[in-house]
Amino acid sequence: MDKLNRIHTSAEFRRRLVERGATNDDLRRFDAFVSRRGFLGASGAALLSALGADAAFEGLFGRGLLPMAMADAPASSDVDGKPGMILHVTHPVSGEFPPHMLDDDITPTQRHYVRNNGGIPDRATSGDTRGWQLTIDGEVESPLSLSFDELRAMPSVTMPLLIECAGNGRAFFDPPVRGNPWQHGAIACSEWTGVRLRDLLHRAKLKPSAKHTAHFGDDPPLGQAEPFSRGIPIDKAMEEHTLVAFAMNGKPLSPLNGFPVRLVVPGWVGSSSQKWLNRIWIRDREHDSQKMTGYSYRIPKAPVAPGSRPRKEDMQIVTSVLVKSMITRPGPDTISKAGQAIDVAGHAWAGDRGIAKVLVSADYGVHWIETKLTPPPNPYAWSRFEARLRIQQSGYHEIWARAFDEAGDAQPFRQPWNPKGYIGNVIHRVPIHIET
Amino acid sequence: MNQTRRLLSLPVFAAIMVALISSACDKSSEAKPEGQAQTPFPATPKAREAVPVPPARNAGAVNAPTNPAPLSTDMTPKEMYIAYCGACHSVDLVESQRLGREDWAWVMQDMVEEYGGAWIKPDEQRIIIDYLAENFGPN
Repeated sequence: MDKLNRIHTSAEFRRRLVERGATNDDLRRFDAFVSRRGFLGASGAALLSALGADAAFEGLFGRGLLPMAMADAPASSDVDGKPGMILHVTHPVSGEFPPHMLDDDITPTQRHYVRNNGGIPDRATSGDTRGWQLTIDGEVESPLSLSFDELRAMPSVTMPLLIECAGNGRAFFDPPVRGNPWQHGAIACSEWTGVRLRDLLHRAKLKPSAKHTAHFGDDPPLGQAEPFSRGIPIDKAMEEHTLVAFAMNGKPLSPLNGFPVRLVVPGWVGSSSQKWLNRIWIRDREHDSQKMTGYSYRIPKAPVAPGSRPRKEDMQIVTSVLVKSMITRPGPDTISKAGQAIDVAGHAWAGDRGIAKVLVSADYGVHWIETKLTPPPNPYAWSRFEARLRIQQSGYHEIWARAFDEAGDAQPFRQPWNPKGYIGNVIHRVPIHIET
Repeated sequence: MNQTRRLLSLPVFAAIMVALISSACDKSSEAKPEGQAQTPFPATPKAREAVPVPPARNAGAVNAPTNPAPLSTDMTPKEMYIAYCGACHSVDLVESQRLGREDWAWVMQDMVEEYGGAWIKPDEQRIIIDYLAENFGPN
């Protein structure tokens, strides 16, 4: 490896970034950082000296990446029952929580992200279950219509289940794509209580023609949009962890998370888990609603160049989320001392697949440590990873985490691109500062 | 855009526009329009009382939602964007994104074809797309 010269000016730094393949979005953020903070001010100088190190250069800039210290910070807002939520959209409500607020193995209700597509139904705000019905019809011998009490009287199970928004990680796509700019926190693993959908479908007696579900809910659509509806193949509907849930963390569902009843289709993109559920129509073909066709919840069948628009025929439906991890401790910009033990922790998940291992690095991916992995309580809860690091060198550092699933897939260092920014799973990088 | 003398302040103006256009955004549970080669989309059980508006794809229908034409010529691009786009969802949905002109045009196409924005005239669409590309572009 060459001996690298110290960087003295922001122009030199910028040139190196370009040489090493920094994207336009990276350069825009770098330019904004320089103009806001004055590159050679106190923090700038510290950043420079830290980033002059060989490891930083090869690990970070060798991949054309910009330090996380230059990331834009999101603003938080106050939504009823969700203090501290980062609110992207007021109506329809769309908000997430930063990773350091998502450390709990069981996500508290007040920290469960919210992604609404339309309005909030009256029944959700009134909290009244009287008059609510769940209809199951279509390709079944015995269509069902259950009241809330009838549903609750059926055998039920309670387990932590992961729900992740299809757009989680969209903010890291380059070039930027349309849609809510979710960062790391459109994900949760709360404890859900419900009747297995499988049991309801047994009761309704599926016909041999039953191929796919179609879900409907009480939420009024925006404008003249079709009421939000998606569905899943019958196999996933019959999987034992797919629930018709009526309790969340031991209590009735919160209004924003689907009161009184929702589907929980764990490990698959969140839009499969219809909120404010009132009907499941069993169809003899793949559901063809607006949100099941066109470019909605679809990625290209084969990888495409960033910024391109493949034909609709070349797109396929997104189902399970991809292998991914999230560092919940330390929080961003934590200050620690040289040589002191730093406890790193977080969660890892892979949709329908299990997690094989999670590695962490404190030197931009040059050296990796295998973390201690706690087996999840069921295949659809996330796994906890933990490691203890010591960083001897003072200055700016980043903690990186990279998860591997049981099929050998791992998180990428740069986000592969698709037109609507679905199932982003690029590695999570947390900036920390080490003092002498 | 004309900078004609305006009788109303921007916030009042925008509020009136949003109220007028919101009537075009009343929700109705309707079957998909005919001509779709698909199984008819069943109405959700709780159909709401709807202001008569045509399905999104029939732009020229008789009872099309009112486009308040007399005022539209006085609008600045920003006013038009807030009034039209803010009628159905909050504008932070728009402003949280940074897209190139082509992608804003794609968004507009979806609004017109799938979300009930068929009443937005082509030249108005262009004005709004230009405004978005200039103010919420990647740079």
